[in-house]
Amino acid sequence: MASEKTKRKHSICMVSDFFYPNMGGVEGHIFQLSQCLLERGHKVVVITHMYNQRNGVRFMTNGLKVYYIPVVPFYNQCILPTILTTLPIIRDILIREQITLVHGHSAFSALAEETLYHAKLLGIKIVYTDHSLFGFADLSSILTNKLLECGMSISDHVICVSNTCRENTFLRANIQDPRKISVIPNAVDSSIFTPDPDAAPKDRIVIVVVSRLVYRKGTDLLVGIIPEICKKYSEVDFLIAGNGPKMVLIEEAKERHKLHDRITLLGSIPNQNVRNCLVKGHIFLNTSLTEAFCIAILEAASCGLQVVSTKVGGIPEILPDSMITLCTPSIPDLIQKVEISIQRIKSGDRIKSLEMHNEIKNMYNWRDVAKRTERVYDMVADSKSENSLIEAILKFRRCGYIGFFVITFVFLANFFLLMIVEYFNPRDKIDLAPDVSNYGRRKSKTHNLD
Amino acid sequence: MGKIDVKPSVNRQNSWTKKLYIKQSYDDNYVDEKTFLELKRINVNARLYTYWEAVLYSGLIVQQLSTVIIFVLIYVYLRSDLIKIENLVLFFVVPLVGIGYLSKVIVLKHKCSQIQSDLGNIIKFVLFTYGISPIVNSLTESISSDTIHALTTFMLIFNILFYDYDSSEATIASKTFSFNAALFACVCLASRFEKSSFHTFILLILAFVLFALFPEYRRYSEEHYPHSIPIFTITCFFICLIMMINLKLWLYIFYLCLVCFIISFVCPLILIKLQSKKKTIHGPWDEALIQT
Repeated sequence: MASEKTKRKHSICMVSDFFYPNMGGVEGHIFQLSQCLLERGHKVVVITHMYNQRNGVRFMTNGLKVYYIPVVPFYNQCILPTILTTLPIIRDILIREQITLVHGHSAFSALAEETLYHAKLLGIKIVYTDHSLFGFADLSSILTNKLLECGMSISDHVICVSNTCRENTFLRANIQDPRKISVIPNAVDSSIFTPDPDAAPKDRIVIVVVSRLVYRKGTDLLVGIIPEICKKYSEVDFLIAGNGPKMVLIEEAKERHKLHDRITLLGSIPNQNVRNCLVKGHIFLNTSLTEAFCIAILEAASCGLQVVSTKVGGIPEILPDSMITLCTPSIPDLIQKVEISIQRIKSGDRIKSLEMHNEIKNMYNWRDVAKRTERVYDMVADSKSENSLIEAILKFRRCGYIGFFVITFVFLANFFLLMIVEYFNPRDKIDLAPDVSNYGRRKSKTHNLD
Repeated sequence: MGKIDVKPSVNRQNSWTKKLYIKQSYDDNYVDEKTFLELKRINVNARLYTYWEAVLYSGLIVQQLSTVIIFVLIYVYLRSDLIKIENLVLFFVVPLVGIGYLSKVIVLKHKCSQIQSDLGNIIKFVLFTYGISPIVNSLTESISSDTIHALTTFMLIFNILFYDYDSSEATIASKTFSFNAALFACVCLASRFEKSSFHTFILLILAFVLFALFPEYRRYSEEHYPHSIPIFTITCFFICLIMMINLKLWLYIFYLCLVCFIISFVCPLILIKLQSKKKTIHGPWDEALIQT
């Protein structure tokens, strides 16, 4: 514990449009990372926009303080990007909580992007995590990439969840030095995702699918293989959890091929039930068409399931070949690989689920992620970068002529707004919030830090 | 199988691998020169055009533009009584439809029953249009002519912008939208004939012929006989040019320069100059296409 005392303590502010009560990869990542950073003695607050009635300050596990700022979501759970309007409240929070480091999450989050500009003006260091892959071809990606490029040019360090994601972000955001990007994978909470060999039926083989039923997650592929597999193997059932616009396709297939007793559609299930759903099966099937990391695969493997997945994005990086079966995104290949897995289960020639669980536990855990993220924080905090308006504007130069002009204009307008806010609500008039995080933990020294 | 053959949890070898499950003795921001961006591909499906190819296909735009102008000119001439409505029907609409349909019958080798059902459809359609033309005729009585002309202009511009020129997956193109825009413009114009609803009726029929049947006819023949593209282009262009003779000289020259020169010769030149800068980036991050 002696070395823990001398370690640097950061005041970190996580910002993203996506947070609890929403559920998904980014949301889980922010929550778990925050918890582990709190555990390591840092101060963490989270800023997100309001969710229906959930507005104001809330406290979550271990005193994680969450600001639900009163801005309504506009499109796809994101706020309307205006940059200027969020300045007063974000500035207030950043000063009140004595934040030394802002950590934005997800390239799609408008709130995170806006907070970057505010933090830059307030002289706070910036780290950004990109969770997703994005193409280059269509109009929306050109626009998003330009915005990302502007945001990335002022952030001190970027974190990506896989090597593929890093290459993508490197090209997308036109970052000059790839060493500015670190790869820190996601992890899985192995204490929740434990195997339970008795939960799965002994005489049947159940294939589990847990994903949103949308085009990007490959529901069209899923619909293609279900009837074929059901026809060939009378002992195979499907268990599908998740909801989405493509659910109709599966229901149609169910009707057409009279598979009512073979396919169970659970609809969308709450996060805490995912594990109980996973352990009911033998094989986990992922048919995504694009994926930066795919936590769902880790969760399934941690529960000891055989994993069959399409070979896209960052998926080939996350598990050794002995634990995952990869295939091309085509119906014949998927069927073939699923058949191999079925044969393997029948013959009993498979890794024991407990063995798999322990292996995953060694490979991925959130504490390790937090430790590596902390290293990034230390590096950023140590870097002596000159922090002035001119320097920030000079950094925008590589966003192209139009991008430079627009973003500089917005940035300067933001600066003048900051002056106005500073005049009406001076910095020294803002109450400083006491640090209540880790309150329970500090009291009870017996808490096991693992 | 049956055992997990993972390498030891700390990789003692010096080489970095692109795997996330191995704890490696490298920094998180280590960049491996060998593997970084090795899967990046540039211009995988990019198609490069030659100059004359581009000129040839720019003819499709000239065709549609000319069609729109011909339609507007017919309206203008009808309004100012420069052409008689009987002459228009006898020497333009009926021969156009007749020749078009005859060639279709010959090329596709239609059976008698097919022709019968086609004729039935035509009669139904003509009678229906004839029935509603009095309603259309008085539809916009209370609206000023300026508004109507402005609306028509916008709608015809939309028709040209959204027209599905090469039936490819271009995101902006929409057959339905462009046809509806043209029809809207036609209803606007047709409702300006206070004198007789017969004029309205003929203009509606003409709009269907020019904006619904003619494009399909062109598309079919251009797909099956690529040599017909320049024929259609030149025909449309010259009909349009001849019809413009009665107009002011500067309009005439403007059209000649705009259509004949800029669209057909200058724009392809710009395309050829710019396409060397074409750079599409592909890699493992792209959304996979479902292989069939």
